[in-house]
Amino acid sequence: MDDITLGLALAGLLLLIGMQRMQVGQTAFPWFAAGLAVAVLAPLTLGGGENQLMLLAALGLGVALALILGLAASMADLAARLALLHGLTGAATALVASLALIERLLEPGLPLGLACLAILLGAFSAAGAAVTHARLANLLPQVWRHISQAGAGILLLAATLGLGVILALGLREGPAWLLLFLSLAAASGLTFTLPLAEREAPLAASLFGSLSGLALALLGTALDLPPLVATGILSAGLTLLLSLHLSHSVQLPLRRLLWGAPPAESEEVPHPAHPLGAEGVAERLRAAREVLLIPGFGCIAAGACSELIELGRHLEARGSRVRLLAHPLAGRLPGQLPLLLREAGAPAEWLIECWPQDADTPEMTLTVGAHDLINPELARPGLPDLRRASSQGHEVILLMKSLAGFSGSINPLLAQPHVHLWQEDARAGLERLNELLRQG
Amino acid sequence: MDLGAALTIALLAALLGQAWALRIRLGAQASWLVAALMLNAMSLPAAILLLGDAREGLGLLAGFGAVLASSAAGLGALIWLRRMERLQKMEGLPTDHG
Repeated sequence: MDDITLGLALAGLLLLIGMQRMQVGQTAFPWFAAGLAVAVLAPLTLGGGENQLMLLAALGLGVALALILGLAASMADLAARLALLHGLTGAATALVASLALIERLLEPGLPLGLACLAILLGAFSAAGAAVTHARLANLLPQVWRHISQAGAGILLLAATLGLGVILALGLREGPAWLLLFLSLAAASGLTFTLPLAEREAPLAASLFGSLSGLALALLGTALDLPPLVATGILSAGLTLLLSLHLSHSVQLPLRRLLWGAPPAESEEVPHPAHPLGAEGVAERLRAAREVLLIPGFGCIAAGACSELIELGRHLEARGSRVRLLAHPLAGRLPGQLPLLLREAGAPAEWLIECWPQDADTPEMTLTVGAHDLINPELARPGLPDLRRASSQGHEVILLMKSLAGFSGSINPLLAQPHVHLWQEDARAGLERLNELLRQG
Repeated sequence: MDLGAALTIALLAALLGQAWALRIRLGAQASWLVAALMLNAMSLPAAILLLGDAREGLGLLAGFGAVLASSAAGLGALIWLRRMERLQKMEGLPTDHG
């Protein structure tokens, strides 16, 4: 084993220690930082080469870009940033494999074939992750769906694979063929991702992370760098299992990502029994001694977390007991919402992650953009049974922008007694409510 | 690299990934997705090695892009990990323990 492989193995080991510390709830950051530092310093000091100045310039620009991507965003942007970073790792792997092809470092056959597969997976996930980032960052509101999308994607992917085989066997070579191969792989990624809506984007981004990991492992095998194989497969396996877990939790099958979402069936929207306005909500909240606040995906999408915390403070100042249910499935990514609420200043004593199954709900519950989360038909664990709360005479107010929610499904709570619908944008509604509570 | 050795490493890494994934709470998944990004950023040392010796114009361009993208992804993920860990360590939030 040469010195560079040893250095990379040390970097991989430090990253693994960091992950093990995460698993047991200990501080992991210093281990990850040390792993990344060794991963940079080992090839930089032991690798040599003639392009050191160019290397340092690329590293400097990379650090600057990382600072922008890591710091110039709130926790609400986590899913979008994660998609972008997954895309960057995919692009990086595809570019390294392309470099190996351009410099003719690999023999035709298996090594070149593995590098071509790494290019395909890397470029595919980079293009797909770029679309999911744009979707999550609201840069791409239009969803392109067509009945031929899946078929066209498969044809494109088959053509890319065919060209990959030609390149791997050394039948064709040169920059023009490589660029065509990269373009076809990226076009395949776009074809499969453009039909995905915002709700499907976090899961797709997670899957692209898995593909990037697999591409890294293939690259490591082609370049004879075993630590890259280990970290690539570990990342691919871990991300794939987490994606499957998430897909199961949000009841969004992975096949829906591949074949596109079926057109939403037009369900009959139940006429809301008790519509309310901000004034009516303020009146009820003033009288409540105990309030449970349940924010959902819509609250994050509207950027209304700070307004929600402000509402809690108004209620607390009036003597009400406030609890804030930060359910793991409420954010775009599981576990995002508690972080977002803490960043927005939510006191620790308000926060609950899961509602105890047998506990009664308080006399007043206000849900904010949580249409799908609180849907009793979906029976998600860790959430209060609001149908039972309503039947016990407890009041439930649903602040929601649309009666169909992100999933397009209808919430049967709307037809329940003691359930009031407040149809309004989460941020605008909470701002108005806070204004009313400030006035008295 | 010998294909048998690569498959053995891959199998062991996949088993480790599975062992971890089975113990991850739903509420901690976001942190683990960021940690997996750190692993993917191991393309950075390969990019540095290959760019160092690149001679062709297009090769230099690809290597420059690869170092830029992988360093941005690796350090970007590290910054997010730090931010998330800091918020998780604040009183009141459940950690990934158990």
